[in-house]
Amino acid sequence: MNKTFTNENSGSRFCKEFVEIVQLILDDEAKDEDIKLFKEYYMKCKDCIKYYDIEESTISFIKQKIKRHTTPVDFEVGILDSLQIQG
Amino acid sequence: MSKILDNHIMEEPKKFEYSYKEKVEIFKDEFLPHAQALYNFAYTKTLEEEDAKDLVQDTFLKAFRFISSFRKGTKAKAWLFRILNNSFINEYRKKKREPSKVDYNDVESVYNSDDVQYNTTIDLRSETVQNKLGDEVTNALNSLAHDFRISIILCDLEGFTYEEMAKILDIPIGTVRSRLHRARNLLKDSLRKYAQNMGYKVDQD
Repeated sequence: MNKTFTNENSGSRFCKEFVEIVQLILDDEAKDEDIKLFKEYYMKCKDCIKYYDIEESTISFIKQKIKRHTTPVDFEVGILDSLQIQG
Repeated sequence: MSKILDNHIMEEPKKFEYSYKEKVEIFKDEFLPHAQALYNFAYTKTLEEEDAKDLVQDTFLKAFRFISSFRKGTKAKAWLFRILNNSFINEYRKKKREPSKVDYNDVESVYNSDDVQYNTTIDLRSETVQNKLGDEVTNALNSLAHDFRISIILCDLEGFTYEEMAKILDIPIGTVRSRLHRARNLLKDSLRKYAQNMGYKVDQD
């Protein structure tokens, strides 16, 4: 790809593309070409870096804070009983 | 084979022969350890404890009944989640009024539009904000529309890949991406409002 990317490009369409790529990067779903673009171009833009940092911390925060609802007491035993399987 | 178990999760639509003893072992060793995750998934869907309990019980009954469709040692969790999701769609929703739906044309347009910019980001990095918001995340999550909260649970709590999520929910990967993106933005927005109401200064640049 032939594009230059400096801080002067902040707010350009490249930065808009970055918004989509950030989620893929953070969810470990990005393709190699996206990771290359991410390292070579986007991480040279201060706005993109800031956006990335905030997204990373937010997703990390969500992952840390979401908790599972606990199952009722003897839930697993009840399931085995209903199937007439000895626990 | 039941539509519930039509084999999107497994690679081959094949039947496996197990003795009763093997079935019980698979059930106990590979299925039952996911009871907690399944219950949470069911609760996130129904928001009712009794309904969640019934849904999980029904999922396990079906899993045992159709255990010959499951290949021992493969991803039981994704298989079980898919059964639960299909049970929810095919049976639970018949009994209950359908949860509110989201117009995904709107979602897609938001996701693809120029509005998705840096100024939609919210900085929740402050330690004080994080501590205060700990319990609020669950409330904010539960306030999201069904399909959005499910996306967050499957990805951020259960750690499924986009491909696994697409198979569990029977939707395209692109829809998984857009739902997740939108869900996280809605969650951030909700948490930001809460933090502001609590008197915390929240960056929005």
